[in-house]
Amino acid sequence: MPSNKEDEGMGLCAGAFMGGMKPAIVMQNTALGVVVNTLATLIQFYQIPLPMLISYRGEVGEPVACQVEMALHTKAILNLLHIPTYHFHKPEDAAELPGILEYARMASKPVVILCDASFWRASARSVTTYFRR
Amino acid sequence: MWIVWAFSLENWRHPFWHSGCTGAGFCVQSGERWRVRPARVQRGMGEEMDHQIVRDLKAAGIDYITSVPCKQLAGVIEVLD
Repeated sequence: MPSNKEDEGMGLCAGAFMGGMKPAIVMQNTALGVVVNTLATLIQFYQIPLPMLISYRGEVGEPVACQVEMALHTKAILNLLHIPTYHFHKPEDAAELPGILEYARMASKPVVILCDASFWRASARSVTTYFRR
Repeated sequence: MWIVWAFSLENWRHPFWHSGCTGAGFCVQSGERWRVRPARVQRGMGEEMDHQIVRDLKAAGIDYITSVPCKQLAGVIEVLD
């Protein structure tokens, strides 16, 4: 289900949760500033377990300069909101995803999974090695 | 040694897999014209990882996923679609 904006997506996820579904959202870190209010007053207030798969733009390897500033604030904002945050930097980090999803459900909290450019670049190189395990 | 290199999985996948094709034009394998796709998806980079992430989400019982257009996660969104 596509959303036009991230805070709209949060609202859709909250509605889905209240309707008995298990929601998740896929978005970009540059929109975190937009969703602070929705996260605090809707997702956190109603203790909605919401895995947030977020692309971490503006990190090393980023070609677009305007993405960098928000990258500098991303973890600080998440820390301020007390949202458990996991940073996927290497392909091996993806093995933690099932545990993170279970943790979100158990704790009834939103959790953030940040996937940076190095993660995707390295995944392309080592994906065969990773899945042979 | 060259035979091993030529048939190793990572070298084999790029030129021959559908996802390895890049640019606009005609795809011999699919018989279709190219759609414009994000750079990462065009190169087929991390495509297995996209599928793995979606499989993990499904395995965790996630049954409602909303997405906002995002270049880096375009592969995941495509798998979800």
